[in-house]
Amino acid sequence: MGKSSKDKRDSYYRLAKEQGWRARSAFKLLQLNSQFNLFADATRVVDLCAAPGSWSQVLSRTLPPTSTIVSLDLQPMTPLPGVITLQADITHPSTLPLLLQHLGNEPADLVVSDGAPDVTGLHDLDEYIQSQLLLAALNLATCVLKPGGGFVAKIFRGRDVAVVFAQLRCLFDRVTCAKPRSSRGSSIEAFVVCEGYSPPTGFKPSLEAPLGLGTKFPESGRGVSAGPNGRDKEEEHLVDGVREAELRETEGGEDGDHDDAQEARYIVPFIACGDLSEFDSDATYALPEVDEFGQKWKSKDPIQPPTAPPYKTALEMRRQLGGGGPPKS
Amino acid sequence: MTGQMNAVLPPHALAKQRAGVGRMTSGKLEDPVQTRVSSEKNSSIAVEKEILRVPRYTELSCTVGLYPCRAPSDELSPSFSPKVRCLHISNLSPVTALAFQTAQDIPSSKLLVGEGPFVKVLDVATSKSILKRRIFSRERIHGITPSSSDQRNVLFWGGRSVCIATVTSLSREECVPREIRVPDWVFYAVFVPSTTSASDEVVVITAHNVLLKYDNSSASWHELASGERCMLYSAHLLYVAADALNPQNRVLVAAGTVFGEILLWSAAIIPSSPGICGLTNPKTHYRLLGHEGSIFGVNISPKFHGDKCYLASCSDDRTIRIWDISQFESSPSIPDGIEIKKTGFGHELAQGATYRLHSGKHIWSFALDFERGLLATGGADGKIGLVHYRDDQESREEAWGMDSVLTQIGNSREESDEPNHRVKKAHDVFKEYAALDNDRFAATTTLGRVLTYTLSQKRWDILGQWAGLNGWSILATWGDSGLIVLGDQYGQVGVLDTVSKQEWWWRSMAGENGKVAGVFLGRVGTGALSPTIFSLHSFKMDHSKSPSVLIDRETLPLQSPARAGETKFLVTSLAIGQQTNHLFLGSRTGALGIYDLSSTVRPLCALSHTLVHPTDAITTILPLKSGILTTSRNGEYSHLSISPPPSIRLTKTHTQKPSLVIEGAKGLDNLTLWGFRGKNFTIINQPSQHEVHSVDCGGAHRSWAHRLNKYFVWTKAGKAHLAHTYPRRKLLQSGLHGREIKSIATHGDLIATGAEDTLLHLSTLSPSSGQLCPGAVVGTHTTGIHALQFTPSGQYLFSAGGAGELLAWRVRSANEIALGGTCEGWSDLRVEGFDLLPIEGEGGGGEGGVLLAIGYSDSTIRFYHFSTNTGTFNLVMKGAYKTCCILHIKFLPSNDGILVAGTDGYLSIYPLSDPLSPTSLPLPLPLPPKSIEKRVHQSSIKALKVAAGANGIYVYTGGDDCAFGVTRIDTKNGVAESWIVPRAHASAVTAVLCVGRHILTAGVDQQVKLWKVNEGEEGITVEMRERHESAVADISAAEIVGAKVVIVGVGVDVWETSDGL
Repeated sequence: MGKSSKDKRDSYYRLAKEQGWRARSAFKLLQLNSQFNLFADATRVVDLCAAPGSWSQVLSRTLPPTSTIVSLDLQPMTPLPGVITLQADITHPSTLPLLLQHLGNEPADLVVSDGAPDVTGLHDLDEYIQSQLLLAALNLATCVLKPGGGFVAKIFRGRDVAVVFAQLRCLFDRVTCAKPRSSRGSSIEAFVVCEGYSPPTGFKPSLEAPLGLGTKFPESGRGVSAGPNGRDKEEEHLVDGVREAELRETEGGEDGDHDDAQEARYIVPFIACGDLSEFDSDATYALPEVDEFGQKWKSKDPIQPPTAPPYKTALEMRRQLGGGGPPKS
Repeated sequence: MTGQMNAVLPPHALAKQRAGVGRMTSGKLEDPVQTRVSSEKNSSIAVEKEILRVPRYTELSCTVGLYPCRAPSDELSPSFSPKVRCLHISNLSPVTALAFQTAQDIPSSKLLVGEGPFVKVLDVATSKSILKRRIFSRERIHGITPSSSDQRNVLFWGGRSVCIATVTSLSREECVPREIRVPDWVFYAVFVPSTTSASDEVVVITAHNVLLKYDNSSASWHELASGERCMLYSAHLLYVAADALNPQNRVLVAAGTVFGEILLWSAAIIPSSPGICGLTNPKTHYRLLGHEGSIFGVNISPKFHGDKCYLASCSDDRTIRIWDISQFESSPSIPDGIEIKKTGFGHELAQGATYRLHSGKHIWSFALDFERGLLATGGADGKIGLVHYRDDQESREEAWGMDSVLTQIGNSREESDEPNHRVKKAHDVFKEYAALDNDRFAATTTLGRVLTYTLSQKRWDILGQWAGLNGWSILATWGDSGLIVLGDQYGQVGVLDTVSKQEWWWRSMAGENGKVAGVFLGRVGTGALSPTIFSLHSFKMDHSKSPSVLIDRETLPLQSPARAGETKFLVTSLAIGQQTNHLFLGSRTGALGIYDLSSTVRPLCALSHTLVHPTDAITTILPLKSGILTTSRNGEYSHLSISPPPSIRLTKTHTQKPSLVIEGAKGLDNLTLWGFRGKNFTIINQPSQHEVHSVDCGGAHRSWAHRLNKYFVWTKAGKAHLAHTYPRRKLLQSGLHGREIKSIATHGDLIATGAEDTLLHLSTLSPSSGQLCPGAVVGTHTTGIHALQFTPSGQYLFSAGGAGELLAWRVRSANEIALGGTCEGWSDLRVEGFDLLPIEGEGGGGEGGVLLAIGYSDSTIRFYHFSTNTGTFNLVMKGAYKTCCILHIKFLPSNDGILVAGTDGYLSIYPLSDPLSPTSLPLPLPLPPKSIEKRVHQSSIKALKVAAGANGIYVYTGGDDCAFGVTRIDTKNGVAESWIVPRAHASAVTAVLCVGRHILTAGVDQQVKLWKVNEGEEGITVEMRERHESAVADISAAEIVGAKVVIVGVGVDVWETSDGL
């Protein structure tokens, strides 16, 4: 396969290079924003787990120049104009004063996080670690968000995703699970878009006693109006010309063998973002013949090499030893 | 509602609900026994039901899980409840936990195996499964720790649960494993001696680096100590008993963080006075820096080697590091790092012992039995491997230079007879080897010596030295006969008795003086000896006399099977069929010649000459009950059926390519293959797909001989090398795919699965146990297999996936599969969905061909006509859907069109006037315009089932948008109506099945739901009838096999269904 093969198989990879984004994930935030209008009236925005910085790029290009954008990551990040980049651990209590200081001690309008851990391949473990990373981002967000503020984070739609949905609903008016078209259909990733931060009265955010561990989630002040299957009536995102099937109360009780009443679970509404006319991240596309200047199209190099994988040295050593690894079984 | 629940739910389920509610209402920990007792009283269910409904309250502090009843989904009798329509009956999971259970009074050890939420006990000696039991309601078992003080006690842990059990109690139905919930993920758990009672207590390390101790009396967790605040990806605990230096019992913690640091810290287990947690000050010993990625594994050496103690770690940076932590006691807390003992990339550290027992990527678990020298491994493929690792260390290779051999046989002054000092001193080297029996092999040398070596006596002997073998010799043996056959440079053939040292020589072919090119042996007493002109030599040995006498010698000239103009037929293998009296010769270019030995024609002419293994040598021919098995250096082995004469026709009924330059094969039922792979001589067991042995010999181009399960002898750098190949590894349990299964197709009880490990597995489903019985495995695909389908007759199977690959397979049984054709492919494209229609052959009999409709990732749709006679694919129609990736294509039940679904959420129909009449057109037809286009889902349609109904065609769909859809299509009037159940699952809905009158859906959220779909005047209404949880992660598809539902993903779940309502 040639250099342009990835360009064919991944249009967003090609577009990211052509439009100057540090990573293809920039399109995910752009498509989330076009659906939820996240950036309207947002002037103080925090980007967590920001490296290599494509979401910060989106923020700096989209928000008005007077906005304050603070990006945090444990890894060093190439500076971006109009973005304050901090190298800090989002779980550490000392990060909060640092962050608040750069926000001018004003609460933030929006906190976003595209962070994901190195994955092992054990689904339950990877999903748990991802949910803990999300909770860490949420804990920091609760400390800096203004009432009514928003929170967007990557989530793995696995076995226990409904637990995370239920937790987020304790703190926000509206929680939606969104999947941008630029996120591959074969990937377990999606995003939670939480709008209208409204912690129950008496809730005190703290990094010393974070939510989820030791500190339980506050009971939401909202009433319970559970319909069939314990779901609230919410706006469903149906496509045009399709009716919602009437869901009859089940005669026999829905619960099967596994009635796991250990934790509250809730399925939030789902929305697919991005127009169908946009590129499909699962499709293969023919490459354009000419570029924007009418010149013969050529595969471009990435704007910035992706964050070096941890096994980069290992790959180099392997190459020096010769051979491409053990033979195929 | 309450009354209904009472009526329908089995009593145990109610009890469980109540127990759960008890936990929720109190928000505190209750004595589980009390809860159970109270739950059995007829308390008010209505109140509890209300509380169950509260969806927004999350209690994450301390919860204790409780399963007062036998986990109900496992192995239930059908009489359990007539209303239950979906019962879990078997499961195949990655093996994520292993532990040996050894007791001094038991000669053979037992192995405890964690597979999903189940524990299995295997007898190591017999590989038999003794019992299987569900331990957790839904968590996967990630670790098993037997108690060091009392071997009967075992600690299971995984996810956010632990369970303490005894092996004897596991086998007793009435003993219910008690699941204890933990507030955080557990990375390791150990028993520690109790500070207050005689029984052991449990200490766990959590994902947030906190040590928790379980207090039995209060049934709650207490924080023992909290390490530095960080998120972990792995941890290990070692209990360190008090000694002279340290008056307190301690727990040593190795914590691997997500950010690449390893923290070594300890906490004293302080006796806690009642009601007060023994919170201790943790002491940090080391912060180990150096890894560049998340720490995926840490392990503290179980024993002090001398006075040494080590810590091993592995990371996403793909290095393994060994750290010397012997001084952790005395050293003051060191802020940064210590010297790394050793860093390596797998093989560097392994010192020559590498075992390949698993397929796919991951080995998730291992266990060591130091006393017996056993290593057990558990893979993502569900296999369990066992290695006698100590034998490997003891059996070193032996190697001899020719000088040392000649010294030993007392013949070192080889040039003394011919003192010609002007000629450069000729140096003898090893030429050919042949295995005589389990204890002896023979060798020839370039100076014409014939030697034998006896393994047990470590002794070389010389049989003699022949001028005719000087510079050229061919050597072969009939195993265990003590006879060797030699071919010399003058065309002479000799039979030599290595015991009596008698020899018989004769000319290979009258009038031929060239070198003997090869000697290939059939059954004892018959030999074929071959220059380029062949002759078959038959003789008998008379053993009644001493020494034995060779009698009845006959030479049969053979005419080469190759005709004029064809490549020369250079013989590389021979076999004689006992029953048919056929002689089979394999050639260097992969051709097979067949002779009838009962024919009287001289020279004997070949009945048949067929290219079997294109372009590379046939190395073995084994006669089967019917037909033969051939192996080839081209990497293939095949089963060939042979039609009787006169018109002999060969049919490949089975072909596999196990990525090995195959040199030999043995054992028809349990086929073992050997040959070369890279620099190694490798022996593999084909049915279980594992490497039995591997010797680094330098590569294929050398002289060698092999005695299965005994030894391998070869030449390397002028020396003769010998390695023992006793089987030191085996599989205790076979498995399936090593990576996510992406597709499944069924025909009768035959199941085909395709996965990201690029393999295609055939299995059968046992009707009684619901277990998968493994059949053939083929690895022809180069990327993941995403779509599979059988023809209605089951004779052909088609598989497709990445790189646009689509292959046709001729399937005869679960063990017989041969490639029937390859469709053109495109490296940039993927095939996610296709469908097929059989086309009747000439005269209406059988499948003359197959019409395939294939959807590609670039939105093109191609129709191919596959000819079963020629194995070729002909493009008959081509068009583009849109620009999105196509995920499904189905021929409509009425055969008058195709249904297409993709990542855009639309269902579209292309009408086809007569899809059954493919004509050999010069150009493919264009795709007709769509007749129906209906958007149902917001994004990808992940699963789709089509059923014909009274009011049209019903399409049941599962979407990436978490929704379950029902679409009714009236093809005649071009009308489609859709109804959607939004939020049917918490994740993408990836499997949809029609189960009787119900629809089953399953998703990545591991939920399996059974829906009743009713059609009224108002449209479609839906009831969710049942909800279950599957132990299979990343569910990708489901199929029906008889009355069973097979769900695939990371593993396989089998459910028994009955349409009770």
